[in-house]
Formats: sequence, structure tokens, C-alpha cells
Amino acid sequence: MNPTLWLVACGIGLAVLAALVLVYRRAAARRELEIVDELLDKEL
Amino acid sequence: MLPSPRMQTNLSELMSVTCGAPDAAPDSRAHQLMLTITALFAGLVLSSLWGLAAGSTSAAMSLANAYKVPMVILLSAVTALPAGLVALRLSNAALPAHQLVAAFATSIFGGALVLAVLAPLVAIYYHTSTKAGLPLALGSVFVSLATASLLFGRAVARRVAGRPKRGSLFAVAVLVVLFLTALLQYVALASPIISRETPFDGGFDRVFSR
Repeated sequence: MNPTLWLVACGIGLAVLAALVLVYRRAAARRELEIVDELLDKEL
Repeated sequence: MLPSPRMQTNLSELMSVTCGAPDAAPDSRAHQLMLTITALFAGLVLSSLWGLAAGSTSAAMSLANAYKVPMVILLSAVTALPAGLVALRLSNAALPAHQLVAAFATSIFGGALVLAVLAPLVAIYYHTSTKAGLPLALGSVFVSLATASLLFGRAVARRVAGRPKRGSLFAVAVLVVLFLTALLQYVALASPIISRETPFDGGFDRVFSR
């Protein structure tokens, strides 16, 4: 096992996870807007 | 601590999508993205359970495995994905790229689910049998990889139903082969994951040295 290479790989993995969390939060916000739009369309 | 209601809904939808239920398709891109990321995260958490079981001979190894195994899976997926997307584009496949990524993530979830359900068996054999412990641990990984590959192929075939499948299935094959190739080396990099020595601890060089 090469500890330095493993640390670099883990750093990349953590960065990917952080990016995915951000993308998920944005998608969730967009999804909520879509649901609100659908509800408003049904109301009108 | 229970998951939030939104997360519970996502997990329930995720199971339906993984099982291939016909009415489980997400209704928008944002929804699909959420399901894809939920699938990946749920898969990583489930694989962590297997890591805990496989390293349960020592507390330190068990705790290290709880992050090593998910990290190995995540890094292999990140390494293989660009090549799969290029293969998809070059083969002029009918499948959109985001659908390939979604199918890939749900298949990782399916494979990790198999790992997690076999984890208690792996743990008990590891502590009680010197003959069956190691083969069972390795066998559970192979079963999980085979399940994930089959789920991936099936998910992609369903998404391109009624359209030419060759290009899409070529991209699936490229993605699976590259995932396995990357996995082999990341396992070697993260070793020891299992307390006894296996050919996989030495990566490609040791596996193909005989």
C-alpha cells in the first residue's frame, strides 16, 4: 500500500462526495419548485 | 436516528427503480438526479456495512474498512465513468448520458445491497471457520459484482426498449470492464481490507503473475 497515493485518492473521493452533496441540494430545491408549480397549476 | 420523510420516499422509489418496476420512472430531471445521488450514497453506506464485517477480526481494521470499502467503490466508479460516457457518445447510442449514469448508480446500489445482506454471514464465518471464512468473504464480493452487472445491463436494456440497443450495451460493457479494472488496483491500494492475505492485495501484478 502506498499511503501517499491512497491519501490523494481519498482526497479526490471526498471532493467528489462534497460536489455530489451540493448537486443533490440544488436538485432538491429545483424539485420542490416543480412540485409547487404543479400544485399551483392544479389549483388554477 | 430515522431518515427524514423525503429520504424515506427517495429510498422507497430507489428500490422500485432498482427492481425495474415499470411505473417507477422519475418524472423530471431534478427528480432523477436526486434518485441517482441517493442510490450512490445508499450504496456506499451499505458497502460500509460489509467492510465492518470483513474487517471484524480487529476493531481498527473494521473501522478503517467502514470508509475504505465505500471509498474504493466510489473511486472505481469515478475512474470508469468518463470512459463509459465517451463509449456511449462514440457508439452513437440511443441512451442519453444521464440515463446511463442513473442506471450505473442504481446498479451500484443493487450490488452494495447484496454485499450488505451477506455481511452478517461473512462476519460469523470469519470468526468461526478457518476454511470457509475467506472464500465466503471473497465469494460475496463476486456475487455482488455479478448482481450489479446484471442489474446495470437490465436497467439500460429497459431504458432503450424499442430502440437499437447495441451502442448502449457496448457502453455498459466498457463501463463494467473499466470499473473492475480500476477496482482491482484500488483494492490493492487500500489493502489490507481482509485480515488474511489474498491475491487481490497485490493488484494486477499478483493476480496475473501465475
